[in-house]
Amino acid sequence: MTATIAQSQVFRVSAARWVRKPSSAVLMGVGLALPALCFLALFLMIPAVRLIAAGFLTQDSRGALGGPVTLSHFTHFFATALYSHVLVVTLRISLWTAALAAVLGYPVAMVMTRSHPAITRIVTFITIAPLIVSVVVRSYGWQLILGNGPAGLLNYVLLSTGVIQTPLRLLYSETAVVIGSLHVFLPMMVLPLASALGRIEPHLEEAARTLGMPAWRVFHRITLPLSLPGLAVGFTLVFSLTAGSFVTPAMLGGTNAQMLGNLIDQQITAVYDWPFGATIATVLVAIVVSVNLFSMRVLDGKRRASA
Amino acid sequence: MSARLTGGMAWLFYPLTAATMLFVLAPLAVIVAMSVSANAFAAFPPRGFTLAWYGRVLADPDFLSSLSFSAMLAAAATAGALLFGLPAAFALTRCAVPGREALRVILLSPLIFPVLVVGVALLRLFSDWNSNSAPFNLLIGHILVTTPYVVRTVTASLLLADLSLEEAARTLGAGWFRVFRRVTLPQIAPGVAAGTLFAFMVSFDNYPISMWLADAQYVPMPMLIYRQVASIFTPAVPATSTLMILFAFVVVVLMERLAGLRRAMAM
Amino acid sequence: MRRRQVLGAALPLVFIRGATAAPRSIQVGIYTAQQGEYVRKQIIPKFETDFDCKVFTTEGVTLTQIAALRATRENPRYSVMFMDDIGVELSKRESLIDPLPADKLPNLPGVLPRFMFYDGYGAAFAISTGGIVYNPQVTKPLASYAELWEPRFKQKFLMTTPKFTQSLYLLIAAASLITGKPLKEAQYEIDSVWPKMAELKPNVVSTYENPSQVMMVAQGQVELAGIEYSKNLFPYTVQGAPLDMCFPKEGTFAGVNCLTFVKGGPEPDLAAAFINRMLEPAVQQGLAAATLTSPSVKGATFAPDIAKYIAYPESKMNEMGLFTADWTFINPKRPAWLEKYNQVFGS
Repeated sequence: MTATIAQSQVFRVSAARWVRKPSSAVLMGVGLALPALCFLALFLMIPAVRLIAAGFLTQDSRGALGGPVTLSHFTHFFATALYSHVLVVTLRISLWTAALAAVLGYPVAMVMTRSHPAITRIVTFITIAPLIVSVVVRSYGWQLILGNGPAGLLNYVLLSTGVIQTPLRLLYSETAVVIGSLHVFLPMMVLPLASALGRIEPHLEEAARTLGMPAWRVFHRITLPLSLPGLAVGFTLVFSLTAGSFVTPAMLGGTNAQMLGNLIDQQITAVYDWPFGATIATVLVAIVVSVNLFSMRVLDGKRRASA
Repeated sequence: MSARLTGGMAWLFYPLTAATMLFVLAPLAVIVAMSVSANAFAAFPPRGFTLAWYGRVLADPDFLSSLSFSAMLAAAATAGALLFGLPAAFALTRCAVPGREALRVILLSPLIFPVLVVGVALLRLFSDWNSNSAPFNLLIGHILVTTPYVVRTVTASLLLADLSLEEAARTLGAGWFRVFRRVTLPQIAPGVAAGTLFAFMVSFDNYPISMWLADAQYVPMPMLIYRQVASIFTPAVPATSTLMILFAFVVVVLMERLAGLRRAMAM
Repeated sequence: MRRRQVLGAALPLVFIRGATAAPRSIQVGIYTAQQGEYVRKQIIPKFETDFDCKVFTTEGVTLTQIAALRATRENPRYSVMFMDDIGVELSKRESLIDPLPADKLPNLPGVLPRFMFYDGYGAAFAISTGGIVYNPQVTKPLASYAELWEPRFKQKFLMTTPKFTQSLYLLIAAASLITGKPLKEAQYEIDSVWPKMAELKPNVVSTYENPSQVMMVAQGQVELAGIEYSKNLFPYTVQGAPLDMCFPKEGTFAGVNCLTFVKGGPEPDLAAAFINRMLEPAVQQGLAAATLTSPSVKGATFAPDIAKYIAYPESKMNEMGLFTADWTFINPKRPAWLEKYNQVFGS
């Protein structure tokens, strides 16, 4: 009994299991996905291709795009130290934010799915509510908290309790951007993770406990691996969203933590250098796609390994 | 019922969660504090105490029309996201569609694209098509950015659903719709609920898309707030944000009642 | 003729002219903040009644407005666009706007000649002054822009984002400092200004985009902010915030808000009537007093408590050294300078 249930809980490549004849399943699959595909093809793919293409074109003084086809924008991007630096900063901030979101989000997700309903409700609400508060206003709140000098709320608290002697310089740094981004995107980690955790069959864990496994081992060997899809979803989501953001880096990082999103914003709104803006956007998209593909590979690998 | 957290795990996770909750609440607390300040400007620490700003915000016709428009837009966008996203999630996980990896990348791509760029690109597109209806354009843009959330969360749920139950139901003679409704749907309820909640909230607070596609009559909340912050930053702005938090509370409670979010998650 | 709602049910009405026709309407791009609100709430309703039409507005800054014009070039949605003088040059060059239809604008001759731009493509309707924001309770007003570089302001200067026009003013001021020339001539020497800007870096704590950030000066987190426009600052001063603006001796920068006529925009006659309304003396007077900006027409008068905030009349403008830049020269160089700004002030 336990073995069957355990087996059913293990990930399977679902392609192996369907009841209908193969061809009609494929047809049904195509039919199911078609509306979404058409929608996306029309409203995202076409503009996306136009955008990426723009990175290889030239813009005349009238603002129109056309020939000659050129790699100059890309070479300019990679040859100028400024942009490589911003690229590295973007990667660093996004990775840190995603990693911290995983570390902080996991306990929250565990509590959300394995507590008294009242606690679950409170935790859910606190986690989700910030999503609806404008990111500009939230960042302003963080500015006040992380303010440099004794007037900043955090500094005020730490100084008066004697934890530190000199005020911390947090505002306008990469750290501040990580903190702000973490605050904005934490729900994006917690909710997929909670969804994955909530569906883990409790009998598995109970069985392991009755067999004498200590609690931490149960977590390490059963809960954690089974929640991996949710964790991966959350990680890549937080990474992708942080990498493309521009409001939080502008307000909390200023000149010290410029990210690719800020550069794109500048190109589009300030100088309207569409090809160069497209170039930066393409680099950003390439990074994010790579991370997403990598995590999907790892996930599928794990899934097939345990099938 | 999922096992409750006990023993060593509980000692570790509960304090960590409490600390994280404090982290999440900190800037919100600052915002709420600013909203009751008697100052003419939003300042911290607040001086004096007054609820007058809330009165002003609630009486402001711009605020009310913006709020209702954003709510309707978010609801419609969520419906659209479910309409496109649910079947797509099924196609990804249950059917041997050729090129599934590519399909998945495409379905999730709106998350990958810088939102700012998507907004401008859509503006160009709609202009070329002479599509001048802001609500329509906004709806398209919002469905675009919310569908991936639904696809992601539902896919995660589908992967963990117990296929043997579905097989059992089918061998017992249930039609595919019955199987879907009675066996699959309850299992993926947390994924669907999470996706719906996400979609609604993301649409509600979306600034980069709305910025390009909105017009004078149809002003989503984020634009109203941004405009007010750029104008004079009085305590009315934090008051508006506090009202948004209350609104979020209502939405979460509603979700609970309708979709049994809590029950589904706590199992 | 041109504008159809995609979801609208206007199709049958097209064939029934007259009684059931929808009222004429135009879309106008206006500025944000108090000025935008005044236009929406005071100027437009009366215009709508007088001309039996609807005026829809979108608020934005010059650059987003121009981006919108560029994106809708093939099918213009806007009829009138408010933009800074820098935007007029850009829009004219990219054929986004047409010259103002002088024959339909009886109020146009009332505009001061210095506020007509680029051969009649733009007419100013409100002018603010650009200077440095400071807290009068804490800091003395700057006598010269050179003081900005002094060590006492280390990490105390909040600089306007290079995305905005004001950042260019700072470059011009720096050029004036190193060359000793007046602003009018110094603006052509910006390319040599970067070493001097690098010297400013220790004083710059960060850049800001949102005008509400000037509150950091009031709260003591920074001492100076700028270069900022008076129209964004004086509303705070009037309300009692410890904020004021100083205009160092090198000169006062003019933030000129202009009216433009969108090329191929719907309802050109209505658009012209709206532009004409914006230039009417009574409207100019009301707008200036309410938003603490200078009008662009001759003959307005103000009470002393308002007049002190406004650069008006023309004699006062000359006294203050009110300066508008040569955007024809500057605009093409902007992308390169933005990059240099990022390089110098980035981490």
